[in-house]
Amino acid sequence: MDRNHLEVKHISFRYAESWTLREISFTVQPAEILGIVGPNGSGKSTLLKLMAGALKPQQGTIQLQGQSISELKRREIARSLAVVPQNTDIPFPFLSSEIVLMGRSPHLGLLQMESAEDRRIVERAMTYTDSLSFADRPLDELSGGERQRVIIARALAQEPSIMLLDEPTAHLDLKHQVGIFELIRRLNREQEITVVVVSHDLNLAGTYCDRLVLLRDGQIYRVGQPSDVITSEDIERVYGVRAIVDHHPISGAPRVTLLEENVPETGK
Amino acid sequence: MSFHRFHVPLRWPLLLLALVGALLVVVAIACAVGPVLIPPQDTFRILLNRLPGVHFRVDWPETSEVILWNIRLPRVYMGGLVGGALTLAGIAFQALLRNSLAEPYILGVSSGGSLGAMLAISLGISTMKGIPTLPIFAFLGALLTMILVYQISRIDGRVPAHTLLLAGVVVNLFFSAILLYLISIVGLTEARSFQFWSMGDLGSTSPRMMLVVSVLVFSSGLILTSYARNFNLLVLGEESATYLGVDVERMKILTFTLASLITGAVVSACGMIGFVGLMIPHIGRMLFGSDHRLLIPAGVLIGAIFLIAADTIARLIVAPIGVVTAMCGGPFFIYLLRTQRKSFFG
Repeated sequence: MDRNHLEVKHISFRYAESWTLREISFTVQPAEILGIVGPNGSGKSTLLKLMAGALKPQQGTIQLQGQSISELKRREIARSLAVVPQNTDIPFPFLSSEIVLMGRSPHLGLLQMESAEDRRIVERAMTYTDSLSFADRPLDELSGGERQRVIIARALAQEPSIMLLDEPTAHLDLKHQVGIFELIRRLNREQEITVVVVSHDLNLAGTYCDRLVLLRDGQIYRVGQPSDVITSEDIERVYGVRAIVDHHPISGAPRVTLLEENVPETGK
Repeated sequence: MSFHRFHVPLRWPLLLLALVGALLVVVAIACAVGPVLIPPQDTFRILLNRLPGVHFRVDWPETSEVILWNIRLPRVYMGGLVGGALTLAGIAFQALLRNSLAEPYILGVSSGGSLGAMLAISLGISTMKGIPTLPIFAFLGALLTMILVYQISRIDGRVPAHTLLLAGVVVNLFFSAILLYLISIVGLTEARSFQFWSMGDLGSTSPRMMLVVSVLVFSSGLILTSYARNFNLLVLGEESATYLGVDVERMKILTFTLASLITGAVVSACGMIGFVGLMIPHIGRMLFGSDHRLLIPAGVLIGAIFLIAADTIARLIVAPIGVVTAMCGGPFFIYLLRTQRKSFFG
């Protein structure tokens, strides 16, 4: 079975009474960048956690390399699937390099120390993500963008074939948003890592993703290429907002322009 | 640019060796001072003389030998053992709960343990067929308290610092009331020993009890230490630790059980000695960073040094050891509260 095969099969999930996700099915294509988009509360992050095996669906299965993820050991999963979670706060001071070294953990035995080879992999990952210059600084002293690069370096140090990212550009300024998505694209094109990224930014997701999954109220509303998924009709139906969608003059990616006078009056 | 972080940490063994040296110095001082002064060179020769093939000419007073073997060494040994054990329990609780203020005493785990032990004494089941069962009851009391405090403070899968600490405070108060009640109904002799116990005492552990406690602490401690790298990952949070290959639920059960076992064993032998597990891990992190593979052994050694020194002071000023550690720990807690806002409110 393909090393970067990931398939979501008929999953339904609920935290409490009502279903958060219902009957979700799709296959992640090898070496693609798949974006998961949708409004707040549509179940994007929950879907990512299910795909990473951190939550267990009440119905359906997640297949990783042909096996149900719930039957795999966490260490086995971590060797082929890396996750960049949304919350990366740490209560104790760790250096960035120590954080990235933790990415080698799934490859190490209980009492095994990191070898020179592990350190080389870490150094390479930090070079690749442009984070080596803050290797000796504590993680909690870094800016949001720098910190995200360190966390992505840690995921890269796991030497995964699949990487899942949960809103990697949340709370970042424009320059860092683009920087992170450029990095994701390089990881995908150069390292051939299959990427699944949750994003609430339709323009960024439309520009960098090969395909999009659009969620609405816990169900798949549409799956396909960005130009098929991001349309003014769908945006109005899913987000309840009127928008013009045209094409980016250079890249040709769909470009969303919100129509201000039609934004529903919520605050008044 | 410096890449020293990427080199194999050769400095770890050197740092630990230096701490072992410091520990030996403190042990020598602790053995020396008291109503009878025993010079370190005498201590050294008295100890070596017990080895086969070593024969120093006995030019020291005979009383020195008796005092050293029967009074000071057992007490120094217990100080080192308990100081290291409480530090380890503190480090483990702090990594799992992601809170630098978590500690057996503050969480109420110590008082749960002593309540278990005192119930066993009150019911007359503290030994069975000559085997001390006290540590088992103390362990059960400690573990049940830990589970209780954890369940009370857990909200939506997270353990906020303030609810955790408040739950610990409330459980502590509740158990204190039960302890006071027990003291008021048992005989005067037991009441006196209970009271002294609740303030900690390193000097009245029987040799058999010392053996039982040592076995429990060393075996639990070695298992916990072998998971040091997993503690690093747990500090990142349950979700991140899971993604990096940690079976979080298994680590929780393991840590709560073994850290409670360590706390229970210590409490059943020496009573409640607070704040060691709070102060020492913090000092350890300031000196050596947060990597648990260095922090645990280094912290255990610093904890041993600290408690032997604190107990020597306690002996000299004739105060219970728990009073001395609380006198240091109270202000330290307030200092952490004021400076580590992130850890408290995080």
